[in-house]
Amino acid sequence: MPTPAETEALLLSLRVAVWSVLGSLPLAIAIAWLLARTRFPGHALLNGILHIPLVVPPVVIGYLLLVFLGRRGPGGMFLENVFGITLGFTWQGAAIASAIVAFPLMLRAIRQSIEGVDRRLEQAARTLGASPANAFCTVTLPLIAPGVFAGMVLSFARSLGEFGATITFVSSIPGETRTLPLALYAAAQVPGGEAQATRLVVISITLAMIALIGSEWLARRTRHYSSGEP
Amino acid sequence: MRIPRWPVACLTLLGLVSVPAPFTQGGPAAGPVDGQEILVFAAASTGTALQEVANAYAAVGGGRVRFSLAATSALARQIESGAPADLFLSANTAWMDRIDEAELLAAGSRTLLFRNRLVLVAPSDTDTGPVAVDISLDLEAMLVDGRLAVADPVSVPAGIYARQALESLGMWDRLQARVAPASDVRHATLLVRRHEAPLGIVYWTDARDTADIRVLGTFSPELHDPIAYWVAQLADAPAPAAASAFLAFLQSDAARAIFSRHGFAPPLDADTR
Amino acid sequence: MIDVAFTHRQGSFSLDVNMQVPDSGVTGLFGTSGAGKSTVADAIAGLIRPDAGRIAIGETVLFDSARGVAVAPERRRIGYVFQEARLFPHMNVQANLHFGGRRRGAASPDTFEQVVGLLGLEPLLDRRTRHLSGGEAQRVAIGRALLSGPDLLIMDEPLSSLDQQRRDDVLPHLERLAADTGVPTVYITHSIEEIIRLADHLAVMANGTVLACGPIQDVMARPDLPVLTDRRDAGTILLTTVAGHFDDDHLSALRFGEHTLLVPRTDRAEGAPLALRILARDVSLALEPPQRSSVMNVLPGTVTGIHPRGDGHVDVSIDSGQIIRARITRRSADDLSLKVGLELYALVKSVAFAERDAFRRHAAGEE
Repeated sequence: MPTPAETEALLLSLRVAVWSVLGSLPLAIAIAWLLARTRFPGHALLNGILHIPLVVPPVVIGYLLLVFLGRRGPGGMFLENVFGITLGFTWQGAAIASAIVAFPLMLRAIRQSIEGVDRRLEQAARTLGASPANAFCTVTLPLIAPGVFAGMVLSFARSLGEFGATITFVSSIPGETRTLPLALYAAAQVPGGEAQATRLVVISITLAMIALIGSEWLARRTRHYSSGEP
Repeated sequence: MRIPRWPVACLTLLGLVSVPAPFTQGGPAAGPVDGQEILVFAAASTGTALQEVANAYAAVGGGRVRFSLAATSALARQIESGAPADLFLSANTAWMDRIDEAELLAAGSRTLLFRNRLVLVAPSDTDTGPVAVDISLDLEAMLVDGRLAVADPVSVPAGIYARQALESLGMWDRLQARVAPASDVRHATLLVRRHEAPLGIVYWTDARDTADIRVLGTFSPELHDPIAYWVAQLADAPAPAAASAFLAFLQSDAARAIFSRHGFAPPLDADTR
Repeated sequence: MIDVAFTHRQGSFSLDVNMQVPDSGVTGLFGTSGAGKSTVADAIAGLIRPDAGRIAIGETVLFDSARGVAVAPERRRIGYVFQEARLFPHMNVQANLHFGGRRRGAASPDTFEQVVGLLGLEPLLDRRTRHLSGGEAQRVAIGRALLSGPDLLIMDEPLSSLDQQRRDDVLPHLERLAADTGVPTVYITHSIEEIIRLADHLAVMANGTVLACGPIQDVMARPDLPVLTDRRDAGTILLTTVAGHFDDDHLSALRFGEHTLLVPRTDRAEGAPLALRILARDVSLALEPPQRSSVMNVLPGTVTGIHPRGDGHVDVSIDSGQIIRARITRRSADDLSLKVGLELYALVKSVAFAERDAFRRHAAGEE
């Protein structure tokens, strides 16, 4: 059985991953729609910028977050002055770091599924009295549900494994920001920490397998639903 | 599926930049000893100073020296797995002990090269003046509601020393919950520079090299284990003769002058075990 | 009156449409593919925004570039049946049918029952759309459009994606719709058969403009519309009533004006209206009534127009109460010394029926 410290890291990882996924989901759907369905100046640039987390090392993302959302960053100062929020050294900050690193994965999955939806169905909905927003919610969204779900699973998995951006942005505080990968890293740094590291590896893999199997099961159900299987 | 082209371009560029690096550093192998270049595994924090020493070595006719710079723990694990290094420079006693006990070191080659000190730092634009680092120090009051940036006090050597020092001062129990454990000293330094943490405990060598931060006080060496940098030749060094020659040069006066300039102090008698 | 007048440019194709359609009955919008018919439908439904012009149903202005009016498609109350059914795949048939009603104030249960009955949808209600045949899907799509309470129904080649058998399955439903629902309908097609079976008004389009628009028998009788007259099955339409049956001979008598036609036995009751399609190539001409001939139907009339064709034939329009057209060789025309005003006899070798209820009111009005 896991020790209290391990349980703490496990629960923290789950909390960070869940909030990172749920928090980025609406934005990912909105931006995916924008990229899939509209053309505007800077379209390619926006797409490129959103994919940066996929190609630069997470540590760099963490550094940029520190510079932008830290106490002395423009975003961080705004949050502190207007809302009284500081992200540094908090699990919310860890969730944001995870969300940004995982964002391109979620975005790609959702965008592709939106591109796969027949726009003519949306037109049909419009002629039947549905406003654009209503057509999106009642026609497009149910049809892209499998893609949205796939994006959520990918992003959840990426969040569970997030290390570099998290440790750089919010450091590694037990119980607050020390998620499983960070705990694993700390254990591996100590001479003789192998046993501890191995236990954490087993926990991580178990968690990943449960998440994967659970998501496969859910995905099958979602597919049935949106493809109109009885 | 359409793959955006720019990431490919970036990766290609990265490849172009990184691949030839060993060649440009090593150049055509030619040296007085063995005619071979040597590979030194060294703690990342010593990189700048070591490169300067290597340049001086080349200037007096020494052979080529290449460095693999990383965290001491990572290097030690690579050596355990049979990495073909000639010398190992560890920023920490425990990891060198471990390699030593595994009998991976050339007998009698282990040497204490230099030592470091811990300092209390703050962002340079804070108005806190210099403080005496002793039991009168009230770090909690100085932190207000902020955190104390240190390298991880469990796993990273710099953090372990910081914890020992605070324990010696009887402050650790109260401060433990106020610590922001960073991934390494440079990261702790960064947290202070960016004002994420109002105070930090880092190596003197990092503090003096970093703009935007100010040293408020120095921890006395008795407060923690010696911050010792060890160097040793590995038993399976591919170029043993060339390795011995550079090992000797590292202990020369010329090398010591360079290390001192970078803030690394010569070893005290008390440090030697 | 439904008033559609707009210009629109789409790539290298430009439309200049101007047509007035009655706000009752079925108006066929006929043209070869690429004539711009679907663009007209999209403009009426609001799925495209024309460059300039005005579109109105009665007093309701849907689009007016001069006044900056462009009503959103969801507020236009246009029921649109597309070429492909476009059913929502994540809903069953019932949910598809209710989609429009939910958003425009639900149709009354009676209306729902009526539409479902009219289209024969009861057995399909709980089905998933993927399990429908093409014809069934198209019927559901028509029902869905009708149940959204439209002021106007547009059907854009609803049968073109179906095979012949499915067409025969859906067409009778369309005929009943036209008679029973009272929703004015614009029916787009490039099939003259569908036009004749369904439409009582006809608009003809080619190259982005409307060439003719009016009651179907008037437009069909026009000699100057190559898109109609260049067809092998070019012909005109006669509106008749059933006068009686000769069961022994398997014949029925039809009357129009003062003339009687004998046609193969129809099961229509006496007095029922019946539209006939008479192909020009099935009509020959004689200066005197033929003696002892196998042709039963000989209609006296006056030549109202002679239209030479490029292929050695001549189209002759004859007014026999209604317009009949004969397609004869130029040599025959020369032999007969045809000229406008000449009285002669049209010999009708066979007739094609276009039975349907839609002609009832027109036929009744004519008699």
